Formats: sequence, C-alpha cells, structure tokens
Amino acid sequence: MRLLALEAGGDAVSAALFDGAHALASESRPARRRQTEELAPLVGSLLARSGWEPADLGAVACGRGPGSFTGLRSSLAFGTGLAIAAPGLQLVGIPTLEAWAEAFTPAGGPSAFVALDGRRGQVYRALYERVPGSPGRWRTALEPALVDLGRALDEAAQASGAFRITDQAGLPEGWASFGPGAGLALAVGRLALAARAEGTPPGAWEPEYLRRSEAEILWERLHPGPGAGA
Amino acid sequence: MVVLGIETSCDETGVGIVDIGERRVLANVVASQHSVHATYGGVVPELASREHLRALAPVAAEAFARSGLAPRDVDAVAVTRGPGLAGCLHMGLSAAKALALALGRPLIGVNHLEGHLAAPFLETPDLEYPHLGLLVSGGHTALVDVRGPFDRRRLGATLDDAAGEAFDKVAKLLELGFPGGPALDALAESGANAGGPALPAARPKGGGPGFSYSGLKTAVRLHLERERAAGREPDRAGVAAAFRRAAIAPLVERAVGEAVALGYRTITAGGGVACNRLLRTSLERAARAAGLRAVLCSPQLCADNGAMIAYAGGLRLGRGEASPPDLGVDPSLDERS
Repeated sequence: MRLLALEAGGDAVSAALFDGAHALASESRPARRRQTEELAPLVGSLLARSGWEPADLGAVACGRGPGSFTGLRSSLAFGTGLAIAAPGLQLVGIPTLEAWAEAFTPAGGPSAFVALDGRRGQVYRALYERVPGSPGRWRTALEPALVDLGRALDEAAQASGAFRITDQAGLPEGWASFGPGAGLALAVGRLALAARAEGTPPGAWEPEYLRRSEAEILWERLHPGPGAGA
Repeated sequence: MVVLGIETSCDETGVGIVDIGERRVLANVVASQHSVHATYGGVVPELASREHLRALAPVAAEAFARSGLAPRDVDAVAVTRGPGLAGCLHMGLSAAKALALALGRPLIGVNHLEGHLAAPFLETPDLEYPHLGLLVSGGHTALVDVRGPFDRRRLGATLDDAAGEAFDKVAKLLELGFPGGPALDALAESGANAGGPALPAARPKGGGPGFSYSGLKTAVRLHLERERAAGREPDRAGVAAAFRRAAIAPLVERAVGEAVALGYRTITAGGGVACNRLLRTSLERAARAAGLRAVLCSPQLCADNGAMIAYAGGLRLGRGEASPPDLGVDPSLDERS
C-alpha cells in the first residue's frame, strides 16, 4: 500500500511517501502562517518526483495536533480533499506529540517525554514508552495535555530514563531541542503503518487541539453559570 | 465543462456542481452551522473553521450523489478564496487544492462576490450584460455596475455595517436569537401594516452615494431603551417592520435610480438579504414601475452556496485562467477585485 504522510502543525509543512514500509521520499518547507499555500505544491512535487499519481495512494496519515489550529486543519482538509476524489482512501490521524517521540528519540531509547511550546508559559506534553519489539509502536504513559511549563519539567524529571524532546530553547540541561522537518512526516508515516500492521483502527481524522478556542473562553467568562459553554 | 465549486467563506459549507455551458446546476448542497453559533449570538470564526472541516466530505459526497456524477466527471475545481473569514477560507481552499491535484484538473480561486453576481445567470437563461447588481449580505452591501462577467464598477456601498449585519444586530436587540435576519423578516411580516416608530432610512448623513446602517441601528436601540424605561413593552413587530422598511427602501430606490440613469433594463440581487421578503416584493414592484426587470435568485442561490462559485469559476476557466497550487486566501477582497 502506498501512503502519503503529512505534518503541518508547526512553522513548516512536511510530507513523505511510503511504498509499503519503505520511505520513498520526504520533504519539508518553511510555512509559517502559509501552510495552505505550501502544502499542495509540496505534495505535488513529491508525487511527481516519485512518478506516482495521486490515485496510487491507498492512505493518507496526518499529524492531528496539538499545534497551529489553522495548520492542523489545513493539512487535514487537504487529506479530506484527496479522499473526496477517491472515497476509498484511508485517512489516519496521528497524535503530533507521538510523531515527535518517534522522530527524535534515539534508536533504542525506551521512552520519550515531549514538551512543545503551548505559549503563555505552557507546553503541550506527553510521555511515551516504546513497545519492545514493535518498531513504530509506542504506549502512551502520560496523555497529551496542555500544562504549565513548571509542571511539565517536574513530570519529566520523574520520568527517569525518558529522552526529553522539545521545540523550545532555554529549557534546563537534559532537554534536546528540535525543529519541525521532514523527519516528522516520516515519523507520522511510520506510526500509521505500524498501527495498520497490527490491525489498530485508524486514529481520528480531526484535530486534537488540547486548547479551547479564545471564543469559548471569552464566552464562558462573560456568561458564567450552568449553561456556559453549551 | 462540469465544474465543482466549494464555498466556505463564513458559516455555510457549500459544494455545487454545475454544467457551465448549459448553465445547469447539477447539485448544490449546503450545510449550515447556525445551531453551532446560536449559543454565541453570532458567527464564531474559530468554531466555523472547525465545522467546515467536519462538513466538507459529507457535503461533497451528497453533491456527487445528487448529481449522479463521479469525481472523475468533474473538469475543474473552483473555490472561494475571499472575501470571508480567513480560517474558514483555508478549509475550502486546502480541500479544493487536494481535489484538483487528485483529479488532475485545474483549480480556480473565485471572488465570493463575483459568485453572487454570477448566480442569477444559473436561473435566468436570457439574462444579459450590462445590468445593475445589488449585493446584499451579512458581509457586504453594494450596488454594482455589472458590465460583463469580469468588468464591473462600484456605484455605492455601505459606509458601516452591511445590511445583513444590521438585520442580525437589530434582531439581537429584539431578542430574536441567531441568525436573526430571517426571524426579523418573519416578525416584520406580522407587523407590516403597523406604523411602528419613526426610524431614519439607511442613507448616509448628508447624502452621498452609499448606504449607512449605524444610525438606523442606533435609533432602534434608543427607541427600545426609551420604551422599556417608560415601563412599556415595545411593539416588537412594529419595530421590526419599521426597521425593515428603513433598511430596505434605500436599497431599492438606489438600485432602480442607478439602473434608470445608466439606461439598463435589468437589476439583479444576490446575497442572503436578497431572500428578504420586503426586498423581493418592493424591488420587483419598483423595477416594474420603472419599466425594468428584477431578477431575483431562488433563496438557495441567493445565500452562500457552491454552485455560484462553480459557475463564476467556470467563466474564468473559459477564458484560460487557472490558479497556481500555492494560491492563498484573501479575506479582504471586495467586489471590484
């Protein structure tokens, strides 16, 4: 099966093509606030370079967040558009923090604590443990959540042996900082293929925001009471 | 040529499929998000974007089912690129790009307002250029000299709120819920013969070519405050009827006046407010009295929809235009773009 993997939750758009378990091509482009503009040319060029037609694809996997709201939705809408053309196309949502764990944890590293910038002194964090003997499979030890940075640092300190991954500069010693890139799309693809190989149902094709919209927060502030947020 | 059009500029997810040469709508499916936004009393852009993402696939599937066509039967993909809510526009545009790529068909970005001006052609085979176009929606209110499909000139526009925006805001003052425009229209029908308060028509202070709704809206608010302060329950139907008359009359007068001045024979009206009953009846009556013809779309083509985008896109494709794959949204386009 041929799979297209996408990741656009950060300041770049990344895509990768897989033929079975084999990663055929991958590429990333800077796309700060330009995910909608950059994604289609990127995917088009990857497909052309590989000599594939879009109709050759059997599945699309996409990082579903957390991350830039518009970036996440834009990449998911792109996959949706591909599936409108080919209704049999399988769509697989992949937790973005798990993709970071898969992308950047050194081979053999047993676990990964991922903390990505959530703005205002907060981070999106999760803890994953590798499933022994199953490449591309991780167990979620700490569910993805938006927490204060201080709390995340404490949790990471307790997760002894976990490789600490962040996209931020200036965290205490022991954290490895990375930026978005093609490696993330490759990781999204590997996670989707590994899950598929084990017969796991595809992850939800909708963003995992982990943060409520400003509109909802403002509404509840202005309308306190039992009906708030209805 | 069969064109699929995607519309996601505000709170309606629309997919239309149109045979351009035949000017025939093969499908025009719209999913409304009104229930999502009703809680907030207005369209919440972030929530609207989320709903578009959910609705796109089922709305497109329904459009194909109704048209009896398969995706490969589509010759091009048109999509609204502006004006509208940025996050919402991104949803339609991203899906449209992928669809065009997957089908190996051209993509064409469309000005939403050009779509509204093109819509009347889908129901009126003998409609011709030039004519006068009245754009009245929640986001826009303008009179347009429509000389050709790509040649138009603004004759006047609102200086503040759009007509539909004023309807929604006054509906809120009258506690009619969201979206308030249609509810206000219905309430006004029941008070159509009542006098209601004296309200200023939606014309700019000191004259001028455009429209102005802020003074009218404020007058309604002050009237309601005065009534309630005096311990009287306001005559809501009367207020609705008086507001509707004051909001609609300048649109009709200006449209007919400009058409006569230009020597045009036809006036078209598009946008959600073109569904308003008083606008429809009074524009038809005034046009007829002036020896003109008023062309009013059916409600589904007046409101935001994908068929009008497909048709407007088809006209541009017909003269060799196509959009690049790195096309971006343009939330601030106007009818002159």
